[in-house]
Amino acid sequence: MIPVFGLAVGVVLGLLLQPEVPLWLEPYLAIAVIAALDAVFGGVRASLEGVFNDRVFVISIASNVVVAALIVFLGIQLGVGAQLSTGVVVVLGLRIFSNVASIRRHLLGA
Amino acid sequence: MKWPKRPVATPNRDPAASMALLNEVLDRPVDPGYQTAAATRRAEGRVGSTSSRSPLLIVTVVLLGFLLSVAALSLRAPDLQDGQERLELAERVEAANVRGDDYAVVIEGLRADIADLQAQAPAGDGAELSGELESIRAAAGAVPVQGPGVLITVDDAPDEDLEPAPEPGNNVDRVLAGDLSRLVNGLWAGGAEAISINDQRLTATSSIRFAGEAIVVDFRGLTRPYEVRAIGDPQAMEGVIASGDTGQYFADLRDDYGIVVEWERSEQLTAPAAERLTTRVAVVKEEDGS
Repeated sequence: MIPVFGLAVGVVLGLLLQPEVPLWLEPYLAIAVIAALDAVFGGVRASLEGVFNDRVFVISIASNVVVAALIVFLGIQLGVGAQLSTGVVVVLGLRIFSNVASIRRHLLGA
Repeated sequence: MKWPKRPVATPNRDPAASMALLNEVLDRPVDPGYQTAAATRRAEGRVGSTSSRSPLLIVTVVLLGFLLSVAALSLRAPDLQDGQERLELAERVEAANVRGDDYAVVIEGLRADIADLQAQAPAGDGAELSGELESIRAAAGAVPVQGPGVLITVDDAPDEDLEPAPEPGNNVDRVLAGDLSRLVNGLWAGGAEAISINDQRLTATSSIRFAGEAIVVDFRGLTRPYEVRAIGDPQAMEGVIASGDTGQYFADLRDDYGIVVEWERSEQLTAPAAERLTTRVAVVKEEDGS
Protein backbone atom coordinates (compact mmCIF):
# COMPACT_ATOMS: atom_id res chain seq x y z
CA MET A 1 0.00 0.00 0.00
CA ILE A 2 2.81 2.37 0.90
CA PRO A 3 4.44 2.28 -2.57
CA VAL A 4 1.08 3.20 -4.16
CA PHE A 5 0.77 6.10 -1.72
CA GLY A 6 4.32 7.19 -2.62
CA LEU A 7 3.43 7.10 -6.31
CA ALA A 8 0.42 9.35 -5.68
CA VAL A 9 2.62 11.78 -3.70
CA GLY A 10 5.06 11.89 -6.64
CA VAL A 11 2.28 12.59 -9.16
CA VAL A 12 0.86 15.41 -7.01
CA LEU A 13 4.37 16.84 -6.56
CA GLY A 14 4.86 16.91 -10.34
CA LEU A 15 1.48 18.59 -10.86
CA LEU A 16 2.25 21.24 -8.23
CA LEU A 17 5.82 22.05 -9.27
CA GLN A 18 5.29 21.79 -13.06
CA PRO A 19 9.01 21.92 -13.89
CA GLU A 20 10.04 23.19 -17.31
CA VAL A 21 11.46 20.33 -19.37
CA PRO A 22 14.12 21.41 -21.91
CA LEU A 23 13.22 20.59 -25.50
CA TRP A 24 16.16 18.25 -26.14
CA LEU A 25 15.04 16.06 -23.25
CA GLU A 26 11.53 15.42 -24.59
CA PRO A 27 12.27 12.40 -26.83
CA TYR A 28 13.98 10.72 -23.88
CA LEU A 29 11.15 11.51 -21.49
CA ALA A 30 8.54 9.36 -23.22
CA ILE A 31 10.96 6.44 -23.58
CA ALA A 32 12.03 6.79 -19.94
CA VAL A 33 8.40 6.59 -18.81
CA ILE A 34 7.82 3.39 -20.80
CA ALA A 35 11.06 1.83 -19.53
CA ALA A 36 10.09 2.70 -15.95
CA LEU A 37 6.61 1.23 -16.46
CA ASP A 38 8.21 -2.03 -17.62
CA ALA A 39 10.29 -2.22 -14.45
CA VAL A 40 7.26 -1.35 -12.29
CA PHE A 41 5.15 -4.17 -13.73
CA GLY A 42 8.11 -6.54 -13.29
CA GLY A 43 8.29 -5.49 -9.64
CA VAL A 44 4.55 -5.90 -9.06
CA ARG A 45 4.73 -9.39 -10.55
CA ALA A 46 7.73 -10.30 -8.39
CA SER A 47 5.97 -9.11 -5.24
CA LEU A 48 2.92 -11.23 -6.16
CA GLU A 49 5.22 -14.24 -6.53
CA GLY A 50 6.84 -13.49 -3.20
CA VAL A 51 10.30 -12.74 -4.51
CA PHE A 52 10.27 -8.95 -4.49
CA ASN A 53 13.58 -7.24 -3.68
CA ASP A 54 13.88 -3.47 -3.42
CA ARG A 55 17.51 -3.33 -4.59
CA VAL A 56 16.75 -5.37 -7.70
CA PHE A 57 13.70 -3.19 -8.35
CA VAL A 58 15.61 0.09 -8.16
CA ILE A 59 18.50 -1.23 -10.24
CA SER A 60 16.15 -2.59 -12.91
CA ILE A 61 14.37 0.79 -13.19
CA ALA A 62 17.64 2.71 -13.39
CA SER A 63 19.22 0.37 -15.93
CA ASN A 64 16.04 0.26 -18.04
CA VAL A 65 15.85 4.04 -18.21
CA VAL A 66 19.56 4.48 -18.92
CA VAL A 67 19.70 1.79 -21.62
CA ALA A 68 16.54 3.08 -23.31
CA ALA A 69 17.91 6.63 -23.27
CA LEU A 70 21.23 5.43 -24.68
CA ILE A 71 19.52 3.61 -27.54
CA VAL A 72 17.46 6.69 -28.39
CA PHE A 73 20.55 8.91 -28.13
CA LEU A 74 22.45 6.63 -30.48
CA GLY A 75 19.48 6.62 -32.88
CA ILE A 76 19.34 10.43 -32.89
CA GLN A 77 23.07 10.64 -33.60
CA LEU A 78 22.69 8.18 -36.51
CA GLY A 79 19.59 9.88 -37.87
CA VAL A 80 17.24 6.98 -37.11
CA GLY A 81 15.96 8.27 -33.76
CA ALA A 82 12.28 7.77 -34.58
CA GLN A 83 12.78 4.17 -35.79
CA LEU A 84 14.89 3.16 -32.79
CA SER A 85 12.36 4.78 -30.44
CA THR A 86 9.67 2.64 -32.07
CA GLY A 87 11.86 -0.44 -31.58
CA VAL A 88 12.33 0.34 -27.88
CA VAL A 89 8.59 0.90 -27.45
CA VAL A 90 7.79 -2.43 -29.16
CA VAL A 91 10.23 -4.44 -27.04
CA LEU A 92 9.23 -2.81 -23.75
CA GLY A 93 5.57 -3.06 -24.74
CA LEU A 94 5.93 -6.83 -25.22
CA ARG A 95 7.52 -7.17 -21.79
CA ILE A 96 4.80 -5.06 -20.18
CA PHE A 97 2.16 -7.27 -21.81
CA SER A 98 3.71 -10.50 -20.56
CA ASN A 99 4.14 -9.15 -17.04
CA VAL A 100 0.57 -7.84 -16.95
CA ALA A 101 -0.66 -11.22 -18.21
CA SER A 102 1.01 -13.04 -15.31
CA ILE A 103 -0.16 -10.40 -12.80
CA ARG A 104 -3.66 -11.06 -14.10
CA ARG A 105 -3.17 -14.79 -13.60
CA HIS A 106 -2.10 -14.19 -10.02
CA LEU A 107 -4.92 -11.80 -9.14
CA LEU A 108 -7.85 -13.28 -11.08
CA GLY A 109 -6.64 -16.85 -11.42
CA ALA A 110 -7.25 -16.78 -15.17
CA MET B 1 40.47 -32.04 -57.67
CA LYS B 2 39.01 -32.64 -54.28
CA TRP B 3 37.42 -30.10 -52.07
CA PRO B 4 38.57 -30.11 -48.49
CA LYS B 5 35.93 -31.49 -46.24
CA ARG B 6 34.33 -28.89 -44.17
CA PRO B 7 32.10 -29.26 -41.19
CA VAL B 8 28.46 -28.80 -42.13
CA ALA B 9 26.17 -26.91 -39.85
CA THR B 10 23.27 -29.11 -38.87
CA PRO B 11 20.51 -26.92 -37.58
CA ASN B 12 18.87 -28.61 -34.65
CA ARG B 13 15.68 -26.67 -34.89
CA ASP B 14 13.19 -26.51 -32.13
CA PRO B 15 9.91 -27.48 -33.84
CA ALA B 16 8.20 -24.70 -31.90
CA ALA B 17 10.77 -22.07 -32.80
CA SER B 18 8.23 -20.03 -34.69
CA MET B 19 6.24 -19.76 -31.46
CA ALA B 20 9.17 -18.25 -29.58
CA LEU B 21 7.76 -14.74 -29.70
CA LEU B 22 4.35 -15.86 -28.44
CA ASN B 23 6.01 -17.83 -25.63
CA GLU B 24 8.08 -14.80 -24.76
CA VAL B 25 4.88 -12.78 -24.45
CA LEU B 26 2.71 -15.34 -22.65
CA ASP B 27 5.05 -17.39 -20.47
CA ARG B 28 8.01 -15.25 -19.63
CA PRO B 29 9.52 -16.12 -16.26
CA VAL B 30 9.88 -13.38 -13.69
CA ASP B 31 13.08 -11.36 -14.00
CA PRO B 32 16.03 -13.64 -13.09
CA GLY B 33 17.44 -10.94 -10.82
CA TYR B 34 14.50 -11.31 -8.45
CA GLN B 35 14.83 -15.11 -8.40
CA THR B 36 18.54 -14.98 -7.55
CA ALA B 37 18.07 -12.39 -4.82
CA ALA B 38 15.22 -14.35 -3.30
CA ALA B 39 17.22 -17.60 -3.42
CA THR B 40 20.13 -15.89 -1.59
CA ARG B 41 17.82 -14.54 1.10
CA ARG B 42 16.16 -17.93 1.56
CA ALA B 43 19.55 -19.55 1.86
CA GLU B 44 20.30 -17.08 4.69
CA GLY B 45 17.13 -18.18 6.38
CA ARG B 46 15.02 -15.11 5.71
CA VAL B 47 11.79 -14.54 3.76
CA GLY B 48 12.24 -14.37 -0.03
CA SER B 49 10.59 -10.99 -0.36
CA THR B 50 11.86 -7.77 1.18
CA SER B 51 9.58 -5.35 2.96
CA SER B 52 7.60 -2.87 0.87
CA ARG B 53 8.46 -0.07 3.30
CA SER B 54 12.17 0.31 2.75
CA PRO B 55 13.22 3.99 2.32
CA LEU B 56 14.97 3.16 -0.96
CA LEU B 57 11.73 1.83 -2.44
CA ILE B 58 9.65 4.77 -1.23
CA VAL B 59 12.06 7.36 -2.62
CA THR B 60 12.15 5.52 -5.95
CA VAL B 61 8.38 5.33 -6.13
CA VAL B 62 7.95 9.05 -5.38
CA LEU B 63 10.48 9.87 -8.11
CA LEU B 64 8.58 7.58 -10.47
CA GLY B 65 5.27 9.38 -9.85
CA PHE B 66 7.04 12.70 -10.39
CA LEU B 67 8.45 11.44 -13.70
CA LEU B 68 5.01 10.24 -14.80
CA SER B 69 3.20 13.52 -14.17
CA VAL B 70 6.04 15.66 -15.58
CA ALA B 71 6.08 13.56 -18.76
CA ALA B 72 2.30 13.75 -19.09
CA LEU B 73 2.30 17.54 -18.58
CA SER B 74 5.21 18.45 -20.84
CA LEU B 75 4.31 16.14 -23.71
CA ARG B 76 0.69 17.21 -23.85
CA ALA B 77 0.52 20.97 -23.17
CA PRO B 78 1.50 22.80 -26.43
CA ASP B 79 -1.51 21.78 -28.50
CA LEU B 80 -3.97 23.38 -26.09
CA GLN B 81 -2.04 26.66 -26.02
CA ASP B 82 -2.02 26.85 -29.81
CA GLY B 83 -5.78 26.45 -29.96
CA GLN B 84 -6.26 29.22 -27.41
CA GLU B 85 -4.03 31.65 -29.29
CA ARG B 86 -5.72 30.92 -32.62
CA LEU B 87 -9.13 31.56 -31.07
CA GLU B 88 -7.97 34.88 -29.67
CA LEU B 89 -6.56 35.94 -33.04
CA ALA B 90 -9.81 35.02 -34.81
CA GLU B 91 -11.75 37.09 -32.29
CA ARG B 92 -9.51 40.10 -32.85
CA VAL B 93 -9.86 39.80 -36.64
CA GLU B 94 -13.63 39.68 -36.29
CA ALA B 95 -13.71 42.70 -34.01
CA ALA B 96 -11.54 44.67 -36.47
CA ASN B 97 -13.87 43.73 -39.34
CA VAL B 98 -16.92 44.95 -37.42
CA ARG B 99 -15.15 48.23 -36.66
CA GLY B 100 -14.28 48.62 -40.35
CA ASP B 101 -17.93 48.10 -41.32
CA ASP B 102 -19.01 50.73 -38.80
CA TYR B 103 -16.56 53.24 -40.24
CA ALA B 104 -17.86 52.50 -43.77
CA VAL B 105 -21.37 53.48 -42.64
CA VAL B 106 -20.02 56.70 -41.12
CA ILE B 107 -18.18 57.53 -44.36
CA GLU B 108 -21.35 56.96 -46.33
CA GLY B 109 -23.25 59.38 -44.10
CA LEU B 110 -20.59 62.08 -44.32
CA ARG B 111 -20.52 61.83 -48.12
CA ALA B 112 -24.29 62.27 -48.23
CA ASP B 113 -23.88 65.42 -46.12
CA ILE B 114 -21.24 66.76 -48.53
CA ALA B 115 -23.51 66.08 -51.50
CA ASP B 116 -26.38 67.94 -49.79
CA LEU B 117 -24.20 70.94 -49.03
CA GLN B 118 -22.94 71.06 -52.59
CA ALA B 119 -26.52 70.96 -53.91
CA GLN B 120 -27.28 74.02 -51.77
CA ALA B 121 -24.41 75.98 -53.31
CA PRO B 122 -25.57 79.12 -55.16
CA ALA B 123 -26.28 78.66 -58.85
CA GLY B 124 -24.49 80.75 -61.43
CA ASP B 125 -20.85 80.36 -62.24
CA GLY B 126 -20.75 77.20 -60.16
CA ALA B 127 -23.44 75.39 -62.15
CA GLU B 128 -21.14 74.58 -65.01
CA LEU B 129 -18.38 73.47 -62.65
CA SER B 130 -20.67 71.33 -60.53
CA GLY B 131 -21.72 69.33 -63.62
CA GLU B 132 -18.07 68.66 -64.32
CA LEU B 133 -17.48 67.80 -60.68
CA GLU B 134 -20.35 65.28 -60.85
CA SER B 135 -18.82 63.37 -63.74
CA ILE B 136 -15.35 63.40 -62.16
CA ARG B 137 -16.76 62.07 -58.93
CA ALA B 138 -18.50 59.24 -60.78
CA ALA B 139 -15.26 58.31 -62.53
CA ALA B 140 -13.27 58.42 -59.29
CA GLY B 141 -15.75 56.17 -57.50
CA ALA B 142 -16.87 58.74 -54.95
CA VAL B 143 -20.58 58.26 -55.66
CA PRO B 144 -22.65 55.15 -56.38
CA VAL B 145 -23.31 54.63 -60.08
CA GLN B 146 -26.47 53.16 -61.57
CA GLY B 147 -27.09 52.14 -65.12
CA PRO B 148 -27.20 49.34 -67.67
CA GLY B 149 -24.34 46.89 -67.78
CA VAL B 150 -23.30 43.28 -67.43
CA LEU B 151 -23.21 41.09 -64.33
CA ILE B 152 -20.41 38.51 -64.61
CA THR B 153 -20.16 35.62 -62.17
CA VAL B 154 -16.80 33.85 -61.87
CA ASP B 155 -16.38 30.82 -59.60
CA ASP B 156 -14.01 27.94 -58.84
CA ALA B 157 -14.56 24.65 -60.65
CA PRO B 158 -17.44 22.61 -59.12
CA ASP B 159 -16.23 20.11 -56.51
CA GLU B 160 -16.85 16.99 -58.57
CA ASP B 161 -14.54 18.34 -61.27
CA LEU B 162 -11.77 19.13 -58.83
CA GLU B 163 -8.68 17.14 -59.51
CA PRO B 164 -6.09 16.77 -56.79
CA ALA B 165 -3.63 19.61 -57.09
CA PRO B 166 -0.21 18.59 -58.40
CA GLU B 167 1.27 20.19 -55.30
CA PRO B 168 -0.60 21.47 -52.27
CA GLY B 169 -1.30 25.19 -52.18
CA ASN B 170 -1.19 25.47 -55.96
CA ASN B 171 -4.66 24.45 -56.99
CA VAL B 172 -5.14 25.17 -60.68
CA ASP B 173 -8.91 24.71 -60.55
CA ARG B 174 -9.45 27.89 -58.56
CA VAL B 175 -9.99 31.46 -59.66
CA LEU B 176 -6.76 33.39 -59.20
CA ALA B 177 -6.28 37.07 -58.52
CA GLY B 178 -4.63 37.33 -61.95
CA ASP B 179 -7.81 36.05 -63.63
CA LEU B 180 -9.91 38.72 -61.96
CA SER B 181 -7.53 41.55 -62.74
CA ARG B 182 -7.39 40.39 -66.36
CA LEU B 183 -11.16 40.48 -66.54
CA VAL B 184 -11.29 43.92 -64.94
CA ASN B 185 -8.62 45.32 -67.24
CA GLY B 186 -10.51 43.97 -70.24
CA LEU B 187 -13.68 45.65 -69.03
CA TRP B 188 -11.95 49.01 -68.49
CA ALA B 189 -10.48 48.73 -71.98
CA GLY B 190 -13.96 47.93 -73.32
CA GLY B 191 -15.27 51.25 -71.98
CA ALA B 192 -16.73 50.36 -68.58
CA GLU B 193 -17.71 53.41 -66.53
CA ALA B 194 -17.74 51.72 -63.13
CA ILE B 195 -16.81 48.22 -61.94
CA SER B 196 -17.41 46.51 -58.63
CA ILE B 197 -16.42 43.05 -57.40
CA ASN B 198 -18.68 41.63 -54.68
CA ASP B 199 -19.86 45.19 -53.90
CA GLN B 200 -16.30 46.53 -53.66
CA ARG B 201 -16.06 49.47 -56.06
CA LEU B 202 -12.85 49.53 -58.03
CA THR B 203 -11.10 52.87 -58.43
CA ALA B 204 -7.91 54.01 -60.08
CA THR B 205 -5.95 52.99 -56.96
CA SER B 206 -7.60 49.62 -56.32
CA SER B 207 -5.53 46.48 -56.01
CA ILE B 208 -6.46 42.86 -56.66
CA ARG B 209 -4.11 40.51 -54.86
CA PHE B 210 -3.63 37.14 -53.24
CA ALA B 211 -3.32 36.79 -49.48
CA GLY B 212 -2.79 33.16 -48.64
CA GLU B 213 -5.64 31.34 -50.36
CA ALA B 214 -8.03 34.28 -50.61
CA ILE B 215 -8.38 36.99 -53.21
CA VAL B 216 -8.06 40.42 -51.65
CA VAL B 217 -9.48 43.58 -53.22
CA ASP B 218 -8.41 46.82 -51.57
CA PHE B 219 -7.26 44.84 -48.48
CA ARG B 220 -10.60 43.11 -48.05
CA GLY B 221 -10.87 39.36 -48.48
CA LEU B 222 -13.53 38.15 -50.90
CA THR B 223 -15.50 34.92 -50.78
CA ARG B 224 -16.52 33.03 -53.87
CA PRO B 225 -18.45 33.28 -56.12
CA TYR B 226 -17.00 36.52 -57.44
CA GLU B 227 -19.69 38.83 -58.88
CA VAL B 228 -18.28 41.49 -61.17
CA ARG B 229 -20.66 44.34 -62.05
CA ALA B 230 -19.55 46.38 -65.02
CA ILE B 231 -21.60 49.46 -65.84
CA GLY B 232 -21.33 50.71 -69.38
CA ASP B 233 -22.59 49.89 -72.82
CA PRO B 234 -23.94 46.33 -72.34
CA GLN B 235 -23.15 45.39 -75.92
CA ALA B 236 -19.52 46.42 -75.62
CA MET B 237 -19.18 44.76 -72.19
CA GLU B 238 -20.56 41.51 -73.52
CA GLY B 239 -18.23 41.76 -76.48
CA VAL B 240 -15.26 41.90 -74.12
CA ILE B 241 -16.19 38.68 -72.34
CA ALA B 242 -17.41 36.76 -75.36
CA SER B 243 -14.59 37.54 -77.75
CA GLY B 244 -11.26 39.25 -77.98
CA ASP B 245 -8.23 38.51 -75.79
CA THR B 246 -10.12 38.48 -72.51
CA GLY B 247 -12.88 36.34 -73.98
CA GLN B 248 -10.36 33.82 -75.29
CA TYR B 249 -8.59 33.72 -71.92
CA PHE B 250 -11.80 32.92 -70.04
CA ALA B 251 -12.90 30.40 -72.65
CA ASP B 252 -9.61 28.58 -72.03
CA LEU B 253 -10.13 28.71 -68.25
CA ARG B 254 -13.58 27.25 -68.69
CA ASP B 255 -12.55 24.48 -71.08
CA ASP B 256 -9.24 23.48 -69.47
CA TYR B 257 -9.89 23.95 -65.75
CA GLY B 258 -13.68 23.88 -65.44
CA ILE B 259 -13.83 27.38 -63.93
CA VAL B 260 -17.36 28.79 -64.02
CA VAL B 261 -17.80 32.00 -66.05
CA GLU B 262 -21.35 33.28 -66.57
CA TRP B 263 -22.72 36.67 -67.55
CA GLU B 264 -26.04 38.38 -68.13
CA ARG B 265 -27.07 41.79 -69.37
CA SER B 266 -28.95 44.02 -67.01
CA GLU B 267 -30.70 47.33 -67.54
CA GLN B 268 -30.28 48.38 -63.94
CA LEU B 269 -27.04 47.68 -62.13
CA THR B 270 -25.69 49.52 -59.09
CA ALA B 271 -22.03 49.92 -58.17
CA PRO B 272 -21.58 51.33 -54.64
CA ALA B 273 -19.25 54.18 -53.81
CA ALA B 274 -15.68 53.25 -52.98
CA GLU B 275 -14.77 53.18 -49.30
CA ARG B 276 -11.34 54.68 -49.69
CA LEU B 277 -10.63 57.66 -51.90
CA THR B 278 -7.41 58.99 -50.44
CA THR B 279 -4.52 59.33 -52.80
CA ARG B 280 -0.96 58.96 -51.76
CA VAL B 281 1.46 61.65 -52.74
CA ALA B 282 5.05 60.77 -53.48
CA VAL B 283 7.77 63.37 -53.08
CA VAL B 284 11.12 63.16 -54.82
CA LYS B 285 13.77 62.76 -52.18
CA GLU B 286 16.27 65.59 -52.18
CA GLU B 287 19.66 64.34 -53.11
CA ASP B 288 22.45 64.99 -50.68
CA GLY B 289 25.21 67.41 -51.62
CA SER B 290 23.49 68.98 -54.62
